[in-house]
Amino acid sequence: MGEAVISGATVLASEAESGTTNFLVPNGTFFFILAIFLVVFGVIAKFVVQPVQKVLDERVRLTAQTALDNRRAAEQDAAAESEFKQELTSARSEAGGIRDRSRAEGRQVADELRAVAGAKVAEEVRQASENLEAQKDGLTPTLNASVESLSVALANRIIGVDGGR
Amino acid sequence: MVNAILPVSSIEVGHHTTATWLGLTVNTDTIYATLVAAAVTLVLAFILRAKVTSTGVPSGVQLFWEAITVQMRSQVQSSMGLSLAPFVLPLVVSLFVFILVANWISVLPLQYTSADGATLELLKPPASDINFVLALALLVFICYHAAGFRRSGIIGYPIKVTKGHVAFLAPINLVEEIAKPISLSLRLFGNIFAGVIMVGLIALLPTYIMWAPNAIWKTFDLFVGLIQAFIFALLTILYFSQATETQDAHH
Repeated sequence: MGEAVISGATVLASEAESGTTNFLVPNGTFFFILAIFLVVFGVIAKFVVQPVQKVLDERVRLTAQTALDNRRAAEQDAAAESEFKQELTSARSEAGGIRDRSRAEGRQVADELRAVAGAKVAEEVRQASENLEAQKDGLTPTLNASVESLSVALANRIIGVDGGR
Repeated sequence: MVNAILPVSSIEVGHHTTATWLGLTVNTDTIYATLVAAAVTLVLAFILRAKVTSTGVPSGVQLFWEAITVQMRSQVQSSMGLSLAPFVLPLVVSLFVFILVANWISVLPLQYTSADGATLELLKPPASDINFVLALALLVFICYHAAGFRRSGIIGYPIKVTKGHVAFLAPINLVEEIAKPISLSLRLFGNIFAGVIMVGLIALLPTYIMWAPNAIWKTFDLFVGLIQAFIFALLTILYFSQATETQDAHH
Protein backbone atom coordinates (compact mmCIF):
# COMPACT_ATOMS: atom_id res chain seq x y z
CA MET A 1 0.00 0.00 0.00
CA GLY A 2 2.70 2.40 0.99
CA GLU A 3 4.73 1.98 -2.13
CA ALA A 4 1.65 2.21 -4.35
CA VAL A 5 1.79 4.98 -6.85
CA ILE A 6 -1.40 7.00 -6.78
CA SER A 7 -1.22 10.23 -8.67
CA GLY A 8 -0.62 10.47 -12.39
CA ALA A 9 2.05 13.07 -11.83
CA THR A 10 3.98 10.73 -9.61
CA VAL A 11 3.71 7.97 -12.21
CA LEU A 12 4.84 10.35 -14.88
CA ALA A 13 7.80 11.52 -12.81
CA SER A 14 8.85 8.05 -11.78
CA GLU A 15 8.53 6.72 -15.32
CA ALA A 16 10.50 9.65 -16.69
CA GLU A 17 13.20 8.96 -14.12
CA SER A 18 13.34 5.27 -14.79
CA GLY A 19 13.32 5.86 -18.55
CA THR A 20 10.05 3.97 -19.21
CA THR A 21 7.38 5.28 -21.58
CA ASN A 22 5.44 8.46 -20.86
CA PHE A 23 1.75 7.62 -20.87
CA LEU A 24 0.91 11.00 -22.42
CA VAL A 25 2.84 10.10 -25.58
CA PRO A 26 0.75 8.11 -28.04
CA ASN A 27 2.01 4.77 -29.25
CA GLY A 28 0.83 2.01 -31.58
CA THR A 29 -2.44 1.75 -29.68
CA PHE A 30 -3.52 4.78 -31.69
CA PHE A 31 -3.83 2.80 -34.92
CA PHE A 32 -5.71 -0.09 -33.35
CA ILE A 33 -8.17 2.27 -31.69
CA LEU A 34 -8.61 4.07 -35.00
CA ALA A 35 -9.28 0.78 -36.78
CA ILE A 36 -11.79 -0.32 -34.11
CA PHE A 37 -13.59 3.01 -34.32
CA LEU A 38 -13.70 2.93 -38.12
CA VAL A 39 -15.37 -0.49 -37.94
CA VAL A 40 -17.90 0.86 -35.41
CA PHE A 41 -18.43 3.90 -37.61
CA GLY A 42 -19.01 1.76 -40.69
CA VAL A 43 -21.50 -0.49 -38.94
CA ILE A 44 -23.38 2.40 -37.37
CA ALA A 45 -23.50 4.36 -40.63
CA LYS A 46 -24.80 1.33 -42.52
CA PHE A 47 -26.91 -0.51 -39.98
CA VAL A 48 -28.11 2.23 -37.65
CA VAL A 49 -28.23 5.74 -39.05
CA GLN A 50 -29.50 4.70 -42.49
CA PRO A 51 -32.37 2.51 -41.26
CA VAL A 52 -33.23 4.94 -38.46
CA GLN A 53 -33.38 7.83 -40.90
CA LYS A 54 -35.48 5.70 -43.22
CA VAL A 55 -37.79 4.91 -40.30
CA LEU A 56 -38.03 8.58 -39.35
CA ASP A 57 -38.76 9.64 -42.93
CA GLU A 58 -41.26 6.82 -43.29
CA ARG A 59 -42.96 7.90 -40.09
CA VAL A 60 -43.17 11.51 -41.30
CA ARG A 61 -44.58 10.24 -44.58
CA LEU A 62 -47.13 8.04 -42.80
CA THR A 63 -48.18 10.93 -40.58
CA ALA A 64 -48.62 13.21 -43.57
CA GLN A 65 -50.49 10.43 -45.38
CA THR A 66 -52.82 9.94 -42.43
CA ALA A 67 -53.47 13.68 -42.21
CA LEU A 68 -54.20 13.74 -45.94
CA ASP A 69 -56.48 10.71 -45.62
CA ASN A 70 -58.31 12.37 -42.75
CA ARG A 71 -58.81 15.54 -44.75
CA ARG A 72 -59.97 13.60 -47.77
CA ALA A 73 -62.37 11.55 -45.65
CA ALA A 74 -63.77 14.72 -44.09
CA GLU A 75 -64.22 16.20 -47.56
CA GLN A 76 -65.97 13.05 -48.77
CA ASP A 77 -68.14 13.08 -45.68
CA ALA A 78 -69.12 16.70 -46.28
CA ALA A 79 -69.79 15.98 -49.96
CA ALA A 80 -71.95 12.97 -49.09
CA GLU A 81 -73.80 15.05 -46.52
CA SER A 82 -74.56 17.84 -48.97
CA GLU A 83 -75.50 15.34 -51.66
CA PHE A 84 -77.82 13.65 -49.20
CA LYS A 85 -79.40 16.96 -48.33
CA GLN A 86 -79.79 17.85 -51.98
CA GLU A 87 -81.36 14.48 -52.73
CA LEU A 88 -83.64 14.91 -49.78
CA THR A 89 -84.76 18.34 -50.96
CA SER A 90 -85.39 17.17 -54.50
CA ALA A 91 -87.20 14.08 -53.24
CA ARG A 92 -89.34 16.28 -51.03
CA SER A 93 -90.22 18.63 -53.88
CA GLU A 94 -90.87 15.65 -56.13
CA ALA A 95 -93.15 14.17 -53.53
CA GLY A 96 -94.97 17.49 -53.24
CA GLY A 97 -95.36 17.60 -57.02
CA ILE A 98 -96.69 14.10 -57.12
CA ARG A 99 -99.12 14.91 -54.35
CA ASP A 100 -100.34 18.04 -56.19
CA ARG A 101 -100.59 16.21 -59.45
CA SER A 102 -102.54 13.32 -57.96
CA ARG A 103 -104.84 15.71 -56.15
CA ALA A 104 -105.51 17.49 -59.44
CA GLU A 105 -106.02 14.17 -61.19
CA GLY A 106 -108.39 13.04 -58.51
CA ARG A 107 -110.35 16.24 -58.81
CA GLN A 108 -110.49 15.83 -62.55
CA VAL A 109 -111.69 12.24 -62.25
CA ALA A 110 -114.30 13.30 -59.75
CA ASP A 111 -115.43 16.12 -62.02
CA GLU A 112 -115.62 13.78 -64.98
CA LEU A 113 -117.59 11.24 -63.04
CA ARG A 114 -119.84 13.97 -61.72
CA ALA A 115 -120.40 15.26 -65.25
CA VAL A 116 -121.13 11.73 -66.49
CA ALA A 117 -123.50 11.13 -63.64
CA GLY A 118 -125.17 14.52 -64.23
CA ALA A 119 -125.64 13.67 -67.91
CA LYS A 120 -127.04 10.29 -67.05
CA VAL A 121 -129.45 11.83 -64.56
CA ALA A 122 -130.54 14.42 -67.10
CA GLU A 123 -131.00 11.70 -69.70
CA GLU A 124 -133.07 9.57 -67.35
CA VAL A 125 -135.14 12.55 -66.30
CA ARG A 126 -135.70 13.38 -69.95
CA GLN A 127 -136.64 9.77 -70.79
CA ALA A 128 -138.96 9.60 -67.84
CA SER A 129 -140.65 12.81 -68.80
CA GLU A 130 -140.87 11.55 -72.38
CA ASN A 131 -142.43 8.37 -71.14
CA LEU A 132 -144.84 10.30 -69.06
CA GLU A 133 -145.62 12.51 -72.02
CA ALA A 134 -146.17 9.47 -74.24
CA GLN A 135 -148.38 7.84 -71.68
CA LYS A 136 -150.24 11.05 -71.28
CA ASP A 137 -150.66 11.33 -75.03
CA GLY A 138 -151.76 7.69 -75.23
CA LEU A 139 -154.24 7.98 -72.40
CA THR A 140 -155.72 11.41 -73.17
CA PRO A 141 -157.86 10.35 -76.31
CA THR A 142 -159.11 7.31 -74.54
CA LEU A 143 -160.09 9.25 -71.53
CA ASN A 144 -161.50 12.01 -73.71
CA ALA A 145 -163.66 9.42 -75.48
CA SER A 146 -164.89 7.96 -72.32
CA VAL A 147 -165.78 11.36 -70.86
CA GLU A 148 -169.07 11.49 -72.85
CA SER A 149 -170.45 8.17 -71.87
CA LEU A 150 -169.39 8.65 -68.31
CA SER A 151 -171.05 12.04 -68.24
CA VAL A 152 -174.30 10.57 -69.69
CA ALA A 153 -174.21 7.68 -67.26
CA LEU A 154 -173.62 10.05 -64.38
CA ALA A 155 -176.39 12.37 -65.48
CA ASN A 156 -178.76 9.47 -65.99
CA ARG A 157 -177.95 8.19 -62.52
CA ILE A 158 -178.66 11.56 -61.05
CA ILE A 159 -181.96 11.93 -62.82
CA GLY A 160 -182.78 8.33 -62.48
CA VAL A 161 -183.27 7.61 -66.10
CA ASP A 162 -182.00 4.46 -67.52
CA GLY A 163 -180.33 5.56 -70.60
CA GLY A 164 -181.76 2.90 -72.77
CA ARG A 165 -179.70 0.13 -71.47
CA MET B 1 -8.82 -13.05 -11.67
CA VAL B 2 -11.55 -10.81 -10.34
CA ASN B 3 -10.87 -10.78 -6.63
CA ALA B 4 -12.37 -7.57 -5.29
CA ILE B 5 -15.47 -5.50 -5.71
CA LEU B 6 -14.21 -2.40 -3.93
CA PRO B 7 -11.17 -0.56 -5.24
CA VAL B 8 -8.06 -0.92 -3.15
CA SER B 9 -5.40 1.69 -2.73
CA SER B 10 -2.82 -0.17 -4.78
CA ILE B 11 -4.43 0.98 -8.05
CA GLU B 12 -1.85 2.49 -10.34
CA VAL B 13 -2.85 5.41 -12.48
CA GLY B 14 -1.56 6.07 -15.96
CA HIS B 15 0.14 2.69 -16.09
CA HIS B 16 -0.69 0.38 -18.97
CA THR B 17 0.00 -3.23 -19.70
CA THR B 18 1.79 -3.29 -23.01
CA ALA B 19 2.59 -5.72 -25.77
CA THR B 20 4.16 -5.48 -29.20
CA TRP B 21 1.87 -6.13 -32.15
CA LEU B 22 2.95 -5.66 -35.77
CA GLY B 23 6.09 -3.95 -34.50
CA LEU B 24 4.07 -1.39 -32.54
CA THR B 25 3.91 -0.98 -28.80
CA VAL B 26 0.26 -1.19 -27.80
CA ASN B 27 -1.54 -0.74 -24.49
CA THR B 28 -3.41 -4.03 -24.31
CA ASP B 29 -5.68 -2.91 -21.46
CA THR B 30 -6.91 0.05 -23.52
CA ILE B 31 -7.42 -2.11 -26.59
CA TYR B 32 -9.27 -4.68 -24.49
CA ALA B 33 -11.61 -2.08 -22.98
CA THR B 34 -12.09 -0.44 -26.38
CA LEU B 35 -13.01 -3.80 -27.89
CA VAL B 36 -15.56 -4.35 -25.14
CA ALA B 37 -17.04 -0.90 -25.80
CA ALA B 38 -17.07 -1.56 -29.55
CA ALA B 39 -18.70 -4.95 -28.97
CA VAL B 40 -21.47 -3.39 -26.85
CA THR B 41 -22.03 -0.72 -29.49
CA LEU B 42 -22.07 -3.25 -32.32
CA VAL B 43 -24.46 -5.57 -30.47
CA LEU B 44 -26.83 -2.62 -30.00
CA ALA B 45 -26.45 -1.79 -33.69
CA PHE B 46 -27.18 -5.35 -34.81
CA ILE B 47 -30.16 -5.65 -32.49
CA LEU B 48 -31.54 -2.52 -34.11
CA ARG B 49 -30.80 -3.89 -37.58
CA ALA B 50 -32.70 -7.07 -36.80
CA LYS B 51 -35.77 -5.47 -35.27
CA VAL B 52 -36.04 -2.05 -36.90
CA THR B 53 -39.63 -1.15 -37.76
CA SER B 54 -41.41 1.91 -39.02
CA THR B 55 -45.00 0.74 -38.66
CA GLY B 56 -44.89 -1.48 -35.57
CA VAL B 57 -44.05 -0.58 -32.00
CA PRO B 58 -40.33 0.27 -31.85
CA SER B 59 -38.18 -1.71 -29.42
CA GLY B 60 -36.18 -0.11 -26.62
CA VAL B 61 -32.98 -0.42 -28.62
CA GLN B 62 -34.62 1.33 -31.56
CA LEU B 63 -35.86 4.12 -29.30
CA PHE B 64 -32.31 4.51 -27.94
CA TRP B 65 -30.86 4.86 -31.44
CA GLU B 66 -33.75 6.97 -32.65
CA ALA B 67 -33.43 9.39 -29.75
CA ILE B 68 -29.71 9.84 -30.40
CA THR B 69 -30.14 10.11 -34.16
CA VAL B 70 -32.96 12.63 -33.84
CA GLN B 71 -31.02 14.69 -31.33
CA MET B 72 -27.83 14.68 -33.43
CA ARG B 73 -29.74 15.28 -36.62
CA SER B 74 -31.39 18.37 -35.22
CA GLN B 75 -27.99 19.60 -34.03
CA VAL B 76 -26.45 19.02 -37.46
CA GLN B 77 -29.44 20.55 -39.20
CA SER B 78 -29.43 23.70 -37.10
CA SER B 79 -25.70 24.32 -37.43
CA MET B 80 -24.85 23.29 -41.00
CA GLY B 81 -27.66 21.45 -42.73
CA LEU B 82 -27.65 17.76 -43.56
CA SER B 83 -26.74 17.99 -47.22
CA LEU B 84 -23.29 19.63 -46.93
CA ALA B 85 -21.55 16.58 -45.50
CA PRO B 86 -23.87 13.56 -45.31
CA PHE B 87 -21.38 11.47 -43.32
CA VAL B 88 -21.38 13.90 -40.39
CA LEU B 89 -24.55 12.46 -38.88
CA PRO B 90 -23.34 8.84 -38.77
CA LEU B 91 -19.94 10.07 -37.58
CA VAL B 92 -21.31 12.01 -34.61
CA VAL B 93 -23.78 9.27 -33.73
CA SER B 94 -20.94 6.74 -33.73
CA LEU B 95 -18.68 9.06 -31.75
CA PHE B 96 -21.34 9.77 -29.17
CA VAL B 97 -22.41 6.18 -28.58
CA PHE B 98 -18.88 4.78 -28.76
CA ILE B 99 -17.46 7.32 -26.30
CA LEU B 100 -20.51 7.00 -24.06
CA VAL B 101 -20.21 3.22 -23.85
CA ALA B 102 -16.43 3.47 -23.45
CA ASN B 103 -16.86 5.90 -20.55
CA TRP B 104 -19.61 3.90 -18.91
CA ILE B 105 -18.00 0.46 -18.96
CA SER B 106 -15.40 1.71 -16.46
CA VAL B 107 -18.15 2.09 -13.86
CA LEU B 108 -18.10 -1.68 -13.42
CA PRO B 109 -15.89 -2.26 -10.37
CA LEU B 110 -13.95 -5.19 -11.80
CA GLN B 111 -10.36 -5.73 -10.75
CA TYR B 112 -7.74 -8.40 -11.11
CA THR B 113 -4.35 -9.06 -9.57
CA SER B 114 -1.49 -9.31 -12.01
CA ALA B 115 1.34 -11.82 -11.74
CA ASP B 116 3.50 -9.40 -9.79
CA GLY B 117 0.80 -8.77 -7.20
CA ALA B 118 -0.49 -5.40 -8.38
CA THR B 119 -4.26 -4.84 -8.36
CA LEU B 120 -5.44 -3.54 -11.70
CA GLU B 121 -8.77 -2.43 -13.08
CA LEU B 122 -10.18 -4.99 -15.48
CA LEU B 123 -11.92 -2.36 -17.60
CA LYS B 124 -10.12 0.96 -17.61
CA PRO B 125 -12.00 3.72 -19.37
CA PRO B 126 -10.37 3.83 -22.83
CA ALA B 127 -10.62 7.63 -22.83
CA SER B 128 -8.12 7.74 -19.98
CA ASP B 129 -5.55 6.63 -22.57
CA ILE B 130 -4.21 9.41 -24.75
CA ASN B 131 -4.22 7.09 -27.79
CA PHE B 132 -7.99 6.68 -27.69
CA VAL B 133 -8.81 10.39 -27.54
CA LEU B 134 -6.12 11.31 -30.08
CA ALA B 135 -7.34 8.70 -32.55
CA LEU B 136 -10.88 10.06 -32.40
CA ALA B 137 -9.92 13.74 -32.35
CA LEU B 138 -7.48 13.44 -35.24
CA LEU B 139 -10.01 11.49 -37.27
CA VAL B 140 -12.51 14.29 -36.69
CA PHE B 141 -9.81 16.88 -37.50
CA ILE B 142 -8.98 15.23 -40.83
CA CYS B 143 -12.63 14.65 -41.73
CA TYR B 144 -13.79 18.22 -41.14
CA HIS B 145 -10.86 19.64 -43.02
CA ALA B 146 -11.60 17.24 -45.88
CA ALA B 147 -15.19 18.46 -45.87
CA GLY B 148 -13.90 22.05 -45.86
CA PHE B 149 -11.62 21.41 -48.82
CA ARG B 150 -14.49 19.81 -50.71
CA ARG B 151 -16.71 22.80 -49.99
CA SER B 152 -14.34 25.73 -50.57
CA GLY B 153 -11.73 24.25 -52.88
CA ILE B 154 -8.05 23.34 -52.62
CA ILE B 155 -6.97 26.99 -52.66
CA GLY B 156 -10.00 28.68 -51.19
CA TYR B 157 -10.28 26.61 -48.04
CA PRO B 158 -6.80 27.26 -46.57
CA ILE B 159 -7.23 30.95 -47.33
CA LYS B 160 -10.63 30.98 -45.68
CA VAL B 161 -9.39 29.14 -42.59
CA THR B 162 -6.34 31.39 -42.22
CA LYS B 163 -8.05 34.65 -42.93
CA GLY B 164 -11.17 34.06 -40.94
CA HIS B 165 -13.26 37.20 -40.67
CA VAL B 166 -10.44 39.74 -40.73
CA ALA B 167 -6.99 39.23 -42.23
CA PHE B 168 -4.90 40.55 -39.35
CA LEU B 169 -6.21 37.85 -37.03
CA ALA B 170 -4.66 35.16 -39.22
CA PRO B 171 -2.07 34.04 -36.61
CA ILE B 172 -4.78 33.64 -34.01
CA ASN B 173 -6.88 31.71 -36.48
CA LEU B 174 -4.01 29.33 -37.10
CA VAL B 175 -3.49 28.80 -33.38
CA GLU B 176 -7.21 28.21 -32.98
CA GLU B 177 -7.14 25.64 -35.75
CA ILE B 178 -4.24 23.78 -34.13
CA ALA B 179 -5.88 24.05 -30.72
CA LYS B 180 -9.07 22.39 -31.93
CA PRO B 181 -7.90 18.75 -32.05
CA ILE B 182 -5.74 19.23 -28.94
CA SER B 183 -8.57 20.68 -26.87
CA LEU B 184 -11.04 18.17 -28.28
CA SER B 185 -8.86 15.22 -27.29
CA LEU B 186 -7.45 16.54 -24.02
CA ARG B 187 -10.86 17.65 -22.73
CA LEU B 188 -12.16 14.10 -22.96
CA PHE B 189 -8.88 12.64 -21.73
CA GLY B 190 -8.65 14.99 -18.77
CA ASN B 191 -12.20 14.40 -17.61
CA ILE B 192 -12.02 10.62 -17.76
CA PHE B 193 -8.46 10.44 -16.47
CA ALA B 194 -9.52 12.63 -13.56
CA GLY B 195 -12.20 10.07 -12.84
CA VAL B 196 -9.60 7.32 -12.64
CA ILE B 197 -7.44 9.46 -10.33
CA MET B 198 -10.49 10.20 -8.18
CA VAL B 199 -11.17 6.49 -7.77
CA GLY B 200 -7.51 6.03 -6.81
CA LEU B 201 -7.77 8.80 -4.25
CA ILE B 202 -11.03 7.50 -2.83
CA ALA B 203 -9.37 4.11 -2.54
CA LEU B 204 -6.97 5.65 0.00
CA LEU B 205 -9.85 6.10 2.43
CA PRO B 206 -10.44 3.46 5.10
CA THR B 207 -12.52 0.59 3.77
CA TYR B 208 -15.46 1.14 6.15
CA ILE B 209 -16.14 4.67 4.75
CA MET B 210 -14.75 4.31 1.23
CA TRP B 211 -17.94 2.92 -0.30
CA ALA B 212 -19.89 6.16 0.21
CA PRO B 213 -17.67 8.61 -1.74
CA ASN B 214 -16.96 5.81 -4.22
CA ALA B 215 -20.67 5.30 -4.93
CA ILE B 216 -21.21 9.03 -5.18
CA TRP B 217 -18.20 9.49 -7.44
CA LYS B 218 -19.07 6.60 -9.75
CA THR B 219 -22.58 8.01 -10.12
CA PHE B 220 -21.16 11.40 -10.95
CA ASP B 221 -18.70 9.72 -13.30
CA LEU B 222 -21.66 8.35 -15.28
CA PHE B 223 -22.88 11.90 -15.69
CA VAL B 224 -19.40 13.15 -16.65
CA GLY B 225 -19.07 10.34 -19.18
CA LEU B 226 -22.41 11.27 -20.76
CA ILE B 227 -21.63 14.98 -20.85
CA GLN B 228 -18.17 14.44 -22.29
CA ALA B 229 -19.49 12.13 -25.01
CA PHE B 230 -22.15 14.70 -25.86
CA ILE B 231 -19.65 17.57 -25.90
CA PHE B 232 -17.30 15.61 -28.14
CA ALA B 233 -20.12 14.98 -30.64
CA LEU B 234 -21.38 18.57 -30.37
CA LEU B 235 -17.93 20.06 -30.99
CA THR B 236 -17.46 17.73 -33.93
CA ILE B 237 -20.62 19.15 -35.46
CA LEU B 238 -19.46 22.68 -34.64
CA TYR B 239 -16.07 22.16 -36.28
CA PHE B 240 -17.74 20.67 -39.35
CA SER B 241 -20.09 23.62 -39.63
CA GLN B 242 -17.19 26.07 -39.29
CA ALA B 243 -15.24 24.24 -41.96
CA THR B 244 -18.10 24.02 -44.42
CA GLU B 245 -19.59 27.51 -44.05
CA THR B 246 -18.87 29.97 -46.85
CA GLN B 247 -18.28 33.70 -46.67
CA ASP B 248 -21.67 34.64 -48.05
CA ALA B 249 -23.44 32.32 -45.67
CA HIS B 250 -22.73 34.30 -42.53
CA HIS B 251 -25.82 35.10 -40.57
